Amino acid sequence: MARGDDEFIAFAQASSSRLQRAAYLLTGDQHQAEEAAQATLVRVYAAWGRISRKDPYAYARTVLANLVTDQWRRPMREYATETMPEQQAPQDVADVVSKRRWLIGVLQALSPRERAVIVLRHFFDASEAEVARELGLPAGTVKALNSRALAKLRITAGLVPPLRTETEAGAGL
Amino acid sequence: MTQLEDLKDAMHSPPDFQPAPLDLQQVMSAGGRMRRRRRLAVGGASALTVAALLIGGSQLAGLRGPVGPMPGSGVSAPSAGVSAAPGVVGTIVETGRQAEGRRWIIYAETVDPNDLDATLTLVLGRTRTGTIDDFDRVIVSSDPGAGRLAPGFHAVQAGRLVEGRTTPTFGYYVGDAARITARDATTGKTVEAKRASWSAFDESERATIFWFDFTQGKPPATLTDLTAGG
Repeated sequence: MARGDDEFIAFAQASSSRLQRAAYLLTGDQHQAEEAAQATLVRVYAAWGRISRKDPYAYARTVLANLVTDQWRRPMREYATETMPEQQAPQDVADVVSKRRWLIGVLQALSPRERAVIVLRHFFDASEAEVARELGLPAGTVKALNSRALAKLRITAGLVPPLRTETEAGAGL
Repeated sequence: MTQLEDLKDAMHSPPDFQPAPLDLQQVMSAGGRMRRRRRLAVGGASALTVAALLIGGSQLAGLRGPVGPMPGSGVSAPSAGVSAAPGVVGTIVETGRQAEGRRWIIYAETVDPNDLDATLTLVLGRTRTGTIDDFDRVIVSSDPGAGRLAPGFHAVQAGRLVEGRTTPTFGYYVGDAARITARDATTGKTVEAKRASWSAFDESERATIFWFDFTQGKPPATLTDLTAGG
């Protein structure tokens, strides 16, 4: 084993689930998510010597977002729409899982760039400046994409207690 | 309407998705191969860079008078077979200007591709053929120590006259920069730099190489208030 391999393995084990989950949000496909997360970790390992003392998780996040959006650029699979699916009936919305499923469905209907901004900003909790740097976009564009995507998702800025009623082990680092 | 916390909750616990165990042995094998390819790529360029170093060194030695401070100019030629050999990284930027039939170019190089943050160095040089083996290194510039990929301006060198040839004010900037400007201390006017995107091996290693336009034979403008605008 090369020097630093133990540290990399620990990092990969701790971050694998979260990277896959982010990849799933970005691709909408379980198999593609596994491939994207694996390809991300390959690049993280290749660069481990210079990133392990900094912020390897931020590095992985950047690589993942760009890997997925690069793939989108090639086949031009742009399926953004201004018409979002209707939210389900109130009795269904009360159901946490139904609401989650609806939100993930709407997320998949965003444009790739909107989705990347939403995932980096609200899944990884990156700042607008970080998102701009990591996606190579002007800060103003990130702000606009975020606002437009939240509008499509019909998100209000109100503060309410989190809806989370169950947690997944290994969701965080 | 939905709350932002609902969206975060849904993203952290998406229904219909379960993370799978990844094959870390395969990850490390593929990552190791990628690392070796990068070193080979940089090492391959380095053989040519060594020739350029020697050419550039002899011409620098022939300079009359000081050329001003050249931080980072102590790059030494590597021994063959060392994986962490110096070499050109990323795009070679054409400034569009030339002197005596040689085009002014700017490029980045490193002595350790795995530690660009502490080794990235910017080179202003001239070339006749556009190939690396006739690069004439004129100014070598780098920041001291690490942090060379931290947001902000780096390796900035003011324009000067070197053996009667005008060199531009140049450097690189890490971060968003839709415009890079400076103030001409003589005229008081704001001037805008020309820019070229630069990246090394992956998405996190990006910068903008910039230079201010310059006219051969004329003294370079004295510039102040270097600013990057989003």
